[in-house]
Amino acid sequence: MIQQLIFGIVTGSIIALGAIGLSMIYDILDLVNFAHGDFMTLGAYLTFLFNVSLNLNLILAAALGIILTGVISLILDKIMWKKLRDKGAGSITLLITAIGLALVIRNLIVFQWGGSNVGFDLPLSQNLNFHGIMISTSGVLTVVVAALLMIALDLILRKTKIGKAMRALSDNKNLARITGINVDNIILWTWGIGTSFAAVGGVLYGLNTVIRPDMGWFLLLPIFAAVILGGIGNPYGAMVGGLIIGISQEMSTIILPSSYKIAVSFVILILVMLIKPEGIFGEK
Amino acid sequence: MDTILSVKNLKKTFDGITAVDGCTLDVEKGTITGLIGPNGAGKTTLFNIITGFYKPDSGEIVFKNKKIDQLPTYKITHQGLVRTFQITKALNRMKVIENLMLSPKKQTGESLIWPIFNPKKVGKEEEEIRDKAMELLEFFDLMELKDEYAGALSGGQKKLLELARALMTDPDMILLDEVFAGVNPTLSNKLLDYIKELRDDGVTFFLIEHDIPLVMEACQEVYVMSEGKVIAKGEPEEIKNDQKVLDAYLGVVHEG
Amino acid sequence: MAIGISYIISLLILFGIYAIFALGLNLEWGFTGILNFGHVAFFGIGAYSTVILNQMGVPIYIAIVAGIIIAGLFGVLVALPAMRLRGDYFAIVTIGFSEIVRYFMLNEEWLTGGPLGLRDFDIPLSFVPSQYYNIAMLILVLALLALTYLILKALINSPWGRVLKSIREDEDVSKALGKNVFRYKIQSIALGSAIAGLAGILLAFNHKYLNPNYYMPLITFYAWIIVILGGSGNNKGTILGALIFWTFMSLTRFSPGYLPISSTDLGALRMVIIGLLLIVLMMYKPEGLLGNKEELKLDI
Repeated sequence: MIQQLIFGIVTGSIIALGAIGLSMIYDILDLVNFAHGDFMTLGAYLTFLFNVSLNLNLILAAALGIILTGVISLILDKIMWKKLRDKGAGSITLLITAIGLALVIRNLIVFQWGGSNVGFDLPLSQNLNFHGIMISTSGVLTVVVAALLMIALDLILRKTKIGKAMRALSDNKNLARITGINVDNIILWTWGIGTSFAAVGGVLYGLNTVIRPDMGWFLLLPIFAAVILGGIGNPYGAMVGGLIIGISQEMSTIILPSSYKIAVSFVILILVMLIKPEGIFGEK
Repeated sequence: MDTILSVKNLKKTFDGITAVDGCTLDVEKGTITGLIGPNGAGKTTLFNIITGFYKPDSGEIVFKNKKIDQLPTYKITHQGLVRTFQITKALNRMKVIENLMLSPKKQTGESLIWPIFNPKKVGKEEEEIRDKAMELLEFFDLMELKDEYAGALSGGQKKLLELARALMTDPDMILLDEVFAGVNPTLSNKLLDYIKELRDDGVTFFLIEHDIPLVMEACQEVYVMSEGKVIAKGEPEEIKNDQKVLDAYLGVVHEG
Repeated sequence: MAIGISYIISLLILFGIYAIFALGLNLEWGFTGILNFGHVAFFGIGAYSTVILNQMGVPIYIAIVAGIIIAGLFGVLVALPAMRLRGDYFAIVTIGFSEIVRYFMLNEEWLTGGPLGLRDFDIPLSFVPSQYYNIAMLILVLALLALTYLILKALINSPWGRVLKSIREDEDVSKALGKNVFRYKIQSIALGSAIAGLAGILLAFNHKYLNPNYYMPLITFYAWIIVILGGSGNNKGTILGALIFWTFMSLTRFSPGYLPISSTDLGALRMVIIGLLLIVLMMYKPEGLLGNKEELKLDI
C-alpha cells in the first residue's frame, strides 16, 4: 500500500511536470497541444544524445537537452504557431496541427534513434530500503527535482513581472490586452517554461524506466487527465492533478491488473469531464 | 384582445448576478410589441429564457395557454414561438434556399430511415417546402440570391434571411432581437413594412430594439426593462412621457 | 508481374476499407461538426464483436450485421453522456475511450485473446478458390464502399443531412428552428460508428486475424488525414483522400529495395511526411485538396 503510494508520487511528479505546461499552453494559446507528450520524449532523447553519444555527464547533458527542447518550441512558435494565430486559426485547426507536429517529432526520433528502448549512461540506480519499502534513488531525485521546479514556478508566477502578466492574461484575456501586457512575450515565456518542464519530466521518466519514442504519447493522456482535473490554466491545479492521477494509477494496481494502469487515468478523466468539467478547483 | 404570451415573475441568476429579476409581462396576439431598456437590462436574457436556451430559476411562461418554461428550445419552436438572434446567425456554408428549407417542422425526410426507404414521399415534400421557400424569397426580394452561400450575404441580407427562415417554421409569434441594428435606413424601412404586413396576416411580434423612434412608430405597446425588471408598459406616447423611463433609460440615451 | 498485380489488389483492398472508415468520420466531422478522436474504437469493436460472435457459433453473415450494430450502439453509449461537452473535451474523452477499448482488448484474454489476438474464424466468400480470393475480397470491399457512399449521399442530400449541416454551422440556429440537436448528433455518431464497424470487420477478414495493435489511436488520425486531404464535408474528396493516402503509404512501403534505407526508418519518414502534410494543409489549405473554396473555409 505505502509502496504503491511512493510509486504513485514518483509517477505523479512526472505527470505534473507535463501537466503544468499543457495547462498553461491550453489556456494562454487556446491550443490543445497533442504534441506536448512528444516534447517530453524529445527532451529525453536530446539528453540521451548529449549523455551517451557525446559522452557528457548526465547533469550537463540534461541541462543542454532541456534547454534545447525549450528553444525548439520557441522556434516552432515563430515558424508555425504565430502564423496560424495571425491568420486567426480556430482552436480545432490548431489542435489538428498539433497532431501533425506530434507525428513529425515522434517519427523523427524513431528515424534518428530507432524504435527500441534506450537508457542514459548512469550507474545502476540504488534501491533504498526502509523497513521493506523500496525507493530508488532516481525516484527520490524525481520527487525532489519536481518539487524544486514547482516552487520555482510558484515564485515566478507570484514575484516576477512576467509571471504576474501570465496570470493576468490567464484570468482575463481582454483585460490583459487592454492594459498593455505584451501578449507575444508572454506566449514565448509560456512555451519556454511549459516545454522545458515537459522535457525535465521526460528526462526523469527516462531515469526511472527507459526512453522510448512513444513514451510521451502514452504519458499524454494521463497528463490531459491531470490538466482537466486541476482546471485548465491553473498550474497549481495541474500539479495536484498530476499527483492525484499518478497515485490513482499506481494504487489501482492493488485491485486491477497493472496493465490497466493507464486506463484508470482515462476513467478519471472521463468522470471529471462529465461531473465537474471546470476542474476540482475551478469555479463555474 | 387575447394574450398570446404571458411571463410571470421570471427570475434568473448567473454566478450571483441577477439578470432577470421578477419580470412579468403579457404580449397581445396580433400586435407588434416592443421591449426597450438600457444595456444590461436583461432583455436578451429574457428572450433566451422564453425560447428555452436558459431555464428560469423561478417564474412561469405561458404561450397559447400552455406552460413552456420547462420545454427545450426545439419543442418551444414546435409550439409556434420562434426567435432570431441579436448577432445574425446565418448557416454560412449552406445555400440561401437550404437555410430556408431547413425550417419547416416535422419533415418526413428528417428521419434517418425515410430518405432511404421512402424517397418518393420525401421528394414530394421537398418540392412543397421548396415552393414555400421560393414564395418567401419572392416576398423578401431575395430570389437572385437563392443559390448563394449564406456566408456570402451582406449584413442586411442576412437579417432578411433570418426573418424568412423563422417564418418558414409557420410561427404564431416571432421574437426579434435587434433585427434593425446595423441595417441601412432603406432596408430598415422595408423590413418594418414586411413586419407590419406579416402582423396584418396574424403573426405576433415581440422585439428588442434600441432605435427608439422606430419602436415608437412600429409598436402598439412597449415594455421597458431595467435591471431585470419591467419598470413601465404602455403605448409609445405614454412611455415617452413616463418619468421612471426617462430616469432609467432615456436619460442614459441623452447623455450618451 | 503477378506479384505486381496482387500487390495492387491488396493496396486497393486497404484503400477501400479505409475509405469506408473515413466516410464514417466525415459524416461526424465533415457534416455534423463532431470532433470524434476515438473513431478507431468502433473500427475495433465492430471487428471483435463479429469475430467473437462467430467463434461462439453465430453464422458469419449474421455476425457481420451484429458487429455493425454493436459498433453503432457503442457510438451511442459514448455520445449519450459525452455529447454535452464542448468540442475539445469531446475529442479528449473519445480518444480516452478508444484507448480504454484497446486496453480491454489487450487484457481480457478470455474474451479477446489478449495481445495474441484472435484467429480461426469464418470468412465470407470462402467458397472462392484461394487464388481468386483477393480479387473477390476487393470486389466485396469496393461494392460495400459504393453502397456506403450511395447511402450517405442520399442521406446527406435529404432533409436529415440538411439538419446535420445546420448543426455543423451553428447548433443554436438548429435548436431555434425546432430541431432536436442532441438526437441528430447521436444519430450521426451511431451511423458513423456503424460504418467504422463495417470497415473494421472487413479489415479483420482481409488479415484473417485480429490484434489489439490494429487499433492504436494513430489509426483514428489516418482517417482524419484522409478526410482533411479530401476536404471536410466532401464524400468524394474523402474517397480520393483515401486513395492518395494509401498510394503514398504503400509506395513508400514498396521501395526499400530501391533506397538505401531500412524499413523502420522508411516507416518513420513516411509518418514524418504525413505529419508535415497535416501541418501544411492546416496552415495553407485548411479546406483540403478538393475543398470547395466557394463553401468558404471551414471556420474552425
